[in-house]
Amino acid sequence: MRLARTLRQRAGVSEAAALMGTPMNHELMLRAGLVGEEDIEAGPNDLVLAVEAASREVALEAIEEAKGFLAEARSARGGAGDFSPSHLAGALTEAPDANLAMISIPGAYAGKEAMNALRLGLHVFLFSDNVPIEDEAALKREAVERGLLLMGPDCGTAYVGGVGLGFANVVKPGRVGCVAASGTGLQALASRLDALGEGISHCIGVGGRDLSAEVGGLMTLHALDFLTDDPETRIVALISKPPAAEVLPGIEEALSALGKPHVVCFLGAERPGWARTLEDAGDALAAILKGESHRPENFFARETVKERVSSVRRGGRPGGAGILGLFSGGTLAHESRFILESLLGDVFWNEGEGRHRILDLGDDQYTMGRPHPMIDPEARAEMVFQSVEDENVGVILFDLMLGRGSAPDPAGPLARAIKKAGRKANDLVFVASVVGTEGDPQGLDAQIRILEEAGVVILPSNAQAARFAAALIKPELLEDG
Amino acid sequence: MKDLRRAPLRIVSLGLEMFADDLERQNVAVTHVNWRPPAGGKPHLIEILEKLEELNGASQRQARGARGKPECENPGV
Repeated sequence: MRLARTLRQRAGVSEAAALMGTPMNHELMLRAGLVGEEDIEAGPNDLVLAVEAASREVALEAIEEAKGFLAEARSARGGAGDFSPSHLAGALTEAPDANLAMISIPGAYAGKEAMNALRLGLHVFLFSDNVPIEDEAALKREAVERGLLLMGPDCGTAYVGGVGLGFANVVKPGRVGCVAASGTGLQALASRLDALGEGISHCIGVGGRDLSAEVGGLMTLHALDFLTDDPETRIVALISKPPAAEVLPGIEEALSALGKPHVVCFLGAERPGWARTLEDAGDALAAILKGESHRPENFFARETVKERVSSVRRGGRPGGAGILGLFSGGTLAHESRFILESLLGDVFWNEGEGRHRILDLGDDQYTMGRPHPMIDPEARAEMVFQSVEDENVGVILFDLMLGRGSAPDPAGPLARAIKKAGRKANDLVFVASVVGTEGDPQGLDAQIRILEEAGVVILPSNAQAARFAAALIKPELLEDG
Repeated sequence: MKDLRRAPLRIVSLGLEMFADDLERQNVAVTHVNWRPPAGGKPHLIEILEKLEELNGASQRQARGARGKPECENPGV
């Protein structure tokens, strides 16, 4: 993924991909126009390098450079005397005390390897997606029976004993335990807690389908047990899409049997006592730990926000009447959508056409043959640049995800795109929130500064950014209680 | 169960090397598996391998069953 990004940055190269030659990747590259039907000879053991460039010479030079990178990487990792086992059982001979398998191989093979790992007595962090739901349920049944954790599939983030797995922000160790069905949701919560001076004990990712009727919340229940018995965990958070109706009672029962205070956030569902947003969840957790009361508010400082809205609007409304959300975090995109819908009415999703639109650019339909926007921010920056031409758009709303695994400078390409749009961008307001901590490799303050210098209005949370965007379009929202 | 609440993490990583690198940067012991799809990723060969595994599993179960039989059939002892 990093290789493709490096190649794409070469002069004259417009597109590049470096993928294993699995049937699914062939399909992706075909659809992206990077290969033709006749080029498909590579097998799943082969790495396919595909480059689209201004000329054949430029493309060949890029391929040569890629070969150089690969040789370098091989010698760095597999120098003299180093040996990488080729299968899980072999790795356990080398590391008999291993306790967790991290699996990020193509989905077609991931379920089988995850089952192997469980049968070898390992907990599993399953990053891979495209694992059939019936296989997920079988894996989780096996894990529960063996007293093991199966985090995933499609698990982006987890923390175990202070170690971040996958895409994880650098946060303090602490007292909050978490069960999360969403990677970016968990990142937002962990970063919010870090900003509030609280840290985390363990955060168990369960994958986005755990609370479906098919899986029945197997791993959520198991993870709650895990946190109940953990002495470091003083309070528990549960974050997910709303559970299936038949699964909810079991979850509520488990929560009431926890014996520890807890905060629930089923994004998009409202009920007294449930946090409505990730920010509310973080604030409620911190308040309970500090023995303070917590009342969720639309904005922390209404007057300041009012002033900010009027200064941004410079006496008039933005050029267009619509909001366009360009998100890299799927859960943050969903959260923005339901907040905007509650304030402005219909908000369209991905390809839907309407006044307000939210695009989850991490969705498969936007990542064909390309890395996820959290890893490679260039495609989103290009969309920002193109969107300034759309006269219906008045506000561009986006997120920025920092942390390990994310791009080294996600703000840079976006800031450059906004500057490149120049005067055309003047009628637009760019509103964003940044999920990250000062300990992250990218540095929270440094990334915020880059965006602010490009004229982006930064809010302290995704929820506040969405409400701010709504208030720009409909200022009377700020007049209501 | 290897209790993750009490033991330090010791990870085996299959797939993306960047995850193994990130773990090393956090001073976590990690073994990276140079994973390749089984049978060169050829679906018909994978199917044959899976059938062989199933047969192997079935014959092992049968062998265990045969060994266990006398004990099961002697409830009066």
